[in-house]
Amino acid sequence: MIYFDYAATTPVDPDILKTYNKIAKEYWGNSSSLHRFGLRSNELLNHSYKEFQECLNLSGKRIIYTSGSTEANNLAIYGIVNKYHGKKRHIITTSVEHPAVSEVFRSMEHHGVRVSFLSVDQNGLINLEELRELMNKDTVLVSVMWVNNVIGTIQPIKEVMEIVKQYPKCSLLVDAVQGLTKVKPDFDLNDVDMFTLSTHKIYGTKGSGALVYKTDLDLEQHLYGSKQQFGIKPGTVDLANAVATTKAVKKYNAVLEEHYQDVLKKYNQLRSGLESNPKILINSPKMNTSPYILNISIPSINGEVLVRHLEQKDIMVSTGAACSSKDKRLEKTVFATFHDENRAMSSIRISLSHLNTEEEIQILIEALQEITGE
Amino acid sequence: MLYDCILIRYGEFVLKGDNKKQFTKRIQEHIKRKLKKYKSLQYKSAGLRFYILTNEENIEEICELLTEIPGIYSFSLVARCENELDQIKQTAEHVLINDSMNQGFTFKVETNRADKLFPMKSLEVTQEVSRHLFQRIPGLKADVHNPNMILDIDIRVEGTFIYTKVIKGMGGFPSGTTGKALLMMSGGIDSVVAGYLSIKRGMEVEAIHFASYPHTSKLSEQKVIDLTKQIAKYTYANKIKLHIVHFTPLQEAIFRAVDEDYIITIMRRMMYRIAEAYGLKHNIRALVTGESVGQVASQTLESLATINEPIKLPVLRPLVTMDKEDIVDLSKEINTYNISIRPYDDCCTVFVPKHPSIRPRVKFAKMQEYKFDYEPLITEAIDTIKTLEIDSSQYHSSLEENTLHELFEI
Repeated sequence: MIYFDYAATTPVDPDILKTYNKIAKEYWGNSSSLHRFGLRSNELLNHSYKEFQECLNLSGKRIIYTSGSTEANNLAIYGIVNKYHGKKRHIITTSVEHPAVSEVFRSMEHHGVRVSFLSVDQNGLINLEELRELMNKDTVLVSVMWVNNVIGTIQPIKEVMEIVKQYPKCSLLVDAVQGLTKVKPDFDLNDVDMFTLSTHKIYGTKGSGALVYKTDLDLEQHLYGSKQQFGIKPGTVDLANAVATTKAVKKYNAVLEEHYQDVLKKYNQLRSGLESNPKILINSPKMNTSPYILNISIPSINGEVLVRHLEQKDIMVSTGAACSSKDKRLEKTVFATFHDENRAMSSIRISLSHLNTEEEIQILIEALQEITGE
Repeated sequence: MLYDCILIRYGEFVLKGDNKKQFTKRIQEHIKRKLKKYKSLQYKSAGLRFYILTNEENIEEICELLTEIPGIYSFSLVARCENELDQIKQTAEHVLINDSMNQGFTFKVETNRADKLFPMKSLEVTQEVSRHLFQRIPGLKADVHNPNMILDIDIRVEGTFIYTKVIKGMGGFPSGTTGKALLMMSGGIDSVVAGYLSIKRGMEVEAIHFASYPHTSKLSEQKVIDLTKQIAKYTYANKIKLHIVHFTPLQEAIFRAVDEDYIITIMRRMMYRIAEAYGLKHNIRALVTGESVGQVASQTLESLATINEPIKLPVLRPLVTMDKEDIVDLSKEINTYNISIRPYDDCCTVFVPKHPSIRPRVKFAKMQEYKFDYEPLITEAIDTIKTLEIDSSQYHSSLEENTLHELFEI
């Protein structure tokens, strides 16, 4: 199998799995128990919080280990919006967010929360002017994905932060799932109010992720139960996944630059290989984009069909985001970017990793040549 | 780099005639030890001043570390040049531009000429340099009485030193030069602050903690370890000995035998006895506590007199007249506050009597103590003291270090 769907999920790193296993076997004490076996787990949890902050140079943050980024985003959004219950609430987000964010907003719209969706240009970039105009005294949350999961656009988070900062009541949520440990931020991660991540996208275990937020934000709880994890994520802590998350972030953040350069080389090889094919449209922008994601369309072939064509050649890619690829709807990011139904219907996402080889890239280029008859 | 030197000024110990040499030697050793990891630093001692040539090392980190050394009164980042007027003017200009504040700030130049071979007088240098700065930097305002910034020019035989900022150090006396004391540490806000002040005053500090496991959690012990660690960084050795007393048997005996209103009084008398007995064996010259007059029932003057009565070692109470608010501020400054407020009971908060005696008397305390045979329990408590070396740079945990390494190292 040749795998080009690393933005959907990654294989677990043996090192991280080892950490996971060790904790599952030896540290299964409940971190809320009062006896020393439980205290030991609790101490490990605290150490994990500390390591997490240290490896990303963070300070004054709370880390909530969650079951993944969907839960993390839900907790963040409800945590802010519920704080202003009974008041006018306005949220600004983009039209190209992952469903883990956008669907939460859709549900909120039914409950009297006003939501504005920022449009994007032909590069998938939001318009900062539009954001400036939409901001007002009732805006409590701005939510912008750092690296787009479908076409790879890197949003101008630094500039967004500057704008949001002028409204003290408003917080910023950054969905960092496709950015963290992959793309070097041009903003100070420590200055972001809240960000979320998913462990299995960075060679960690499934079913885990994290919400990181400034301690003084004082999020409102959304889930109810005991008081674990500051009451934000009640329930017995999944210590093995928590530590595995910290370890994955630590390990892959340390090699970010090395992997980035490596993937960039392969990305350029792939992109130039496909650009020379006249039947292929490249949906990913040329600038401000992540080399980990390349989105293309072959207008004459439906995206789903193209995925299966490639599957026959033992090559795994995806249409849009895997989480939504079973929906028969248009690929919304590509549509929002190009306003072209056919282009959106026929789009596929190729997502890369340092694990891919140049030969694999060559095979993919040739397979697409064969499919397009070029 | 404009600033490539740090000028260190010593605290009040420079006034102490005969011991000055010994103090100076100690503080210099402490500075070098603290900055050991910066390999290319060079040190120069010139009378009562001490210079560090930073040679491209991280100057911000170094400044941070210097604020953790007792005996340093203040220090400045310094730009150096030759003893030559044009160079002095140039360097002064660079320094002023680098450190300039908001528009319209006022300044004055002060010159000190220690190198008497320099051909101009101090005042002349001040005038010449001021004139130069006015010419070069438009909008500059002088104010000789109340300037926002003082530009110091220090012409010495070894070169000219120019600086504007004076960063406050810890003050006090060089670490370990004023004798060894035993800090009675509860885990609350006060005692650790008292410990910090003692270290700042040049004392070598060991700590003693009374643990009441299983009435209190191991977490309250961990809290004391973490607090000790937090103040260990101010010591010469970078570590503090922490003695943990298994206080439970004695405490339980007190609860059985003593009338409720005297429980706290007797408990504290026992603690004092244990601390003194341990101290006398280990060269300890004084006990240190976080007591402050009037803060709680056991800290009235009557109470202090009664609990102090059984022992002869002096008890130092650095916080004795401080307001709680000021103690809290200080604990936040030294980053112990957040540890101190962790919600675990300590031996003084379990079984607190509803109505402790506010004015206990020695006579009645002694009558209470006749009621049970405490001496063997004191001996046992001393014999079972567990001593930990708390190193400020080490992670202290019930988890094995190699476990953590295995789990988190990459």
